[in-house]
Amino acid sequence: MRAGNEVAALPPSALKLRQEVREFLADYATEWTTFDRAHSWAGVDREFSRAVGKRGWIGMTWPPPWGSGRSAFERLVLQEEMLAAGAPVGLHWVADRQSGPLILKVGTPEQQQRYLPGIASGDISFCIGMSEPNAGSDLAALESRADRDTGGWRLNGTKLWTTNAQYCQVMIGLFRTQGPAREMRQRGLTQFLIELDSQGVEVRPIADLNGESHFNEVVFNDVFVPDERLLGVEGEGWTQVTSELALERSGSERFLSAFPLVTAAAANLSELSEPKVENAVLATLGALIAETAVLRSLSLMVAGKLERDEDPSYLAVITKDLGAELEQRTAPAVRSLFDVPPADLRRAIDHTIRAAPTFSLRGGAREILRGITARSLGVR
Amino acid sequence: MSVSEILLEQVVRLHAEGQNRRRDETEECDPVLWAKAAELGLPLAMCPEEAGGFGLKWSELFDVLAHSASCGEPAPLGDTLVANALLCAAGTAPAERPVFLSLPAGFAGSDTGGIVPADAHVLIADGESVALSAPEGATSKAIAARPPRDDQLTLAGALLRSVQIAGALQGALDLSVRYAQERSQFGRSLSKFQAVQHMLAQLASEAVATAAAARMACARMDAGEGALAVAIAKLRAGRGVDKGAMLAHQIHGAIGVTLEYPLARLSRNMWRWSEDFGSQRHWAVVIGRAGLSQGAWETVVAASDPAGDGDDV
Repeated sequence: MRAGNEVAALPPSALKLRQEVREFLADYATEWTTFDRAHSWAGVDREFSRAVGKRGWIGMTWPPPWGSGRSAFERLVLQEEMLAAGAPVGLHWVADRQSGPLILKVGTPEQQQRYLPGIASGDISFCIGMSEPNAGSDLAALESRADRDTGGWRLNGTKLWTTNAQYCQVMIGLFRTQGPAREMRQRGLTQFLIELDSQGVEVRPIADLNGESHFNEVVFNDVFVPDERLLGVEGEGWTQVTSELALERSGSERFLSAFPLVTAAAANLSELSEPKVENAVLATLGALIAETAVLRSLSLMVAGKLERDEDPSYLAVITKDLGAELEQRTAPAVRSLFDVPPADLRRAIDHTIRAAPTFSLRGGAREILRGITARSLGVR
Repeated sequence: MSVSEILLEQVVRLHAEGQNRRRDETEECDPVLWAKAAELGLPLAMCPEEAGGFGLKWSELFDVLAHSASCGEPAPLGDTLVANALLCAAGTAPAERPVFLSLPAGFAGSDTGGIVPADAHVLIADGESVALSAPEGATSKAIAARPPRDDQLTLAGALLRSVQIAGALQGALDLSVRYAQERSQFGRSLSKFQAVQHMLAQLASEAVATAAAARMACARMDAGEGALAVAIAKLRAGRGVDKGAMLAHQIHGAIGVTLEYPLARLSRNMWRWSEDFGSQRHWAVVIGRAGLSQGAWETVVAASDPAGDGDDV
């Protein structure tokens, strides 16, 4: 635990970028309500994603010609400013975070040419096809199949809980290309780039308890996918997915999802005509700010490890576990700061309380994360 | 190897030797360990070279301070080191004896706590200034000619306790992992039970988060802007103690609460350190006030941004 946990200083370029992002976001200051901001990275806005792309802020760490080869620290600053402001980043978030990097790492030049420019401009959105009706935390139990056909593959099966599939053009889906699930488990899995307008794909939005539809059921009925859409190596899907999940678990969105509530609460309290806010209220607010700062320190350590090509998974998994816990207690804590919260904040609190159960499910359930940490400790 | 790395190696060795010696668990200053640490110059590590020290910074001493605490802080190494740093900074000669920043306490029926050597000193804040005193506070006699300021002692003390708590939590985690692997019930080792694995994972999370906060506070303190980061580190450390100590004891069962088992000393230290130099409530109010005046996100960034002197890639 000792070596390599030093806190790396942010480069001047990252500090400069922070100002640029804040100026960019200031234009939307009056446009977004607290309720809008509480949607955080679940928020969907194509025009906004295009505006971000135009600034060169999607795929910014990718090498030219796809991106501008900027540092992981610059991307971290960009992402956290977007999240703190509650910007509607949902349409470019997944592709910027994991689909693009995966295509860059294992994709063919043709695949890179076909998708990366569209991702970077904010026009093409990606979703993640992993979970299935009978394969949730136990992903290796997945049964959706891809079978050989002339010049390509035939896909059959169902993907479930696919976030934003109804707005996405492409899914990176994990399918079984060899043997039955029970025998093969992690072996014989392959990733495909599936364009969702293909014949036989049906996307069904699922209403959640908030009355909104974020995730979907995606059914594949004899869907043809040509050979050139196989991503990476046939049968190596599990390894590819594992490296993708490391990216999915290490970002600031794992502890900042509910932070716009804290910002709004602090702003509201500071405007009270009676300047003296009770100490108990200050202490609750202070504890939320402190915990967020600690998780940010942790995520900076993770970024430092990524930048030095060291394995960040121990710290990343702990950051996500603690982050989800913080996100889940944020809404009730913010509610406790007011006798009667302002109406907009009240709506945002209610929304976040109802969205909160997913915080410790998405990107790896809490129990899975603790199992991974236990393995790192050598007790599993 | 840097000076701090050499120091760490020697401190690790000293503690390993110390743990093999039989020692009274209520003793707050192991005289053999103290003498050897003094020989290494450890009590002066933060003092400038002209005062006979190494001029090391908080970040450079994090591992040394945390390791000593993870071994139960068998002598007041961290306390003396920080006391001397404050004395040197105030232009005064460092102390030649062990210094306690606060009196060890925690044994039922005892006001003075553990056994403190008769010739030790205590650094006591007295309103605005700070004085080196004999352990019996009533007869305190100012030793420092130009004493350090009260608020400097509070900040340095809070940071030291945060680093030490991070170390103690890591020590409690190491003991818990070992115990869970060695202890067997129902025909298998405790570590094979998922409920125990998850408690270990939660304990690890507390240790990691507390250490991250303390490391960040060290970096900010070294940059001369420590106030907010130290507040956050001390608050996080208190929370880490509340959750972590209970987890470590739950994993250990009854053996953990016996005086002779090393976890007892770690817990006792953590519970005391958690109250030293500002309770959780005190620091939470300080941070909340900053959040109101600066904005919540700006406060987060100000407290957890390492100074902007990194290299552009």
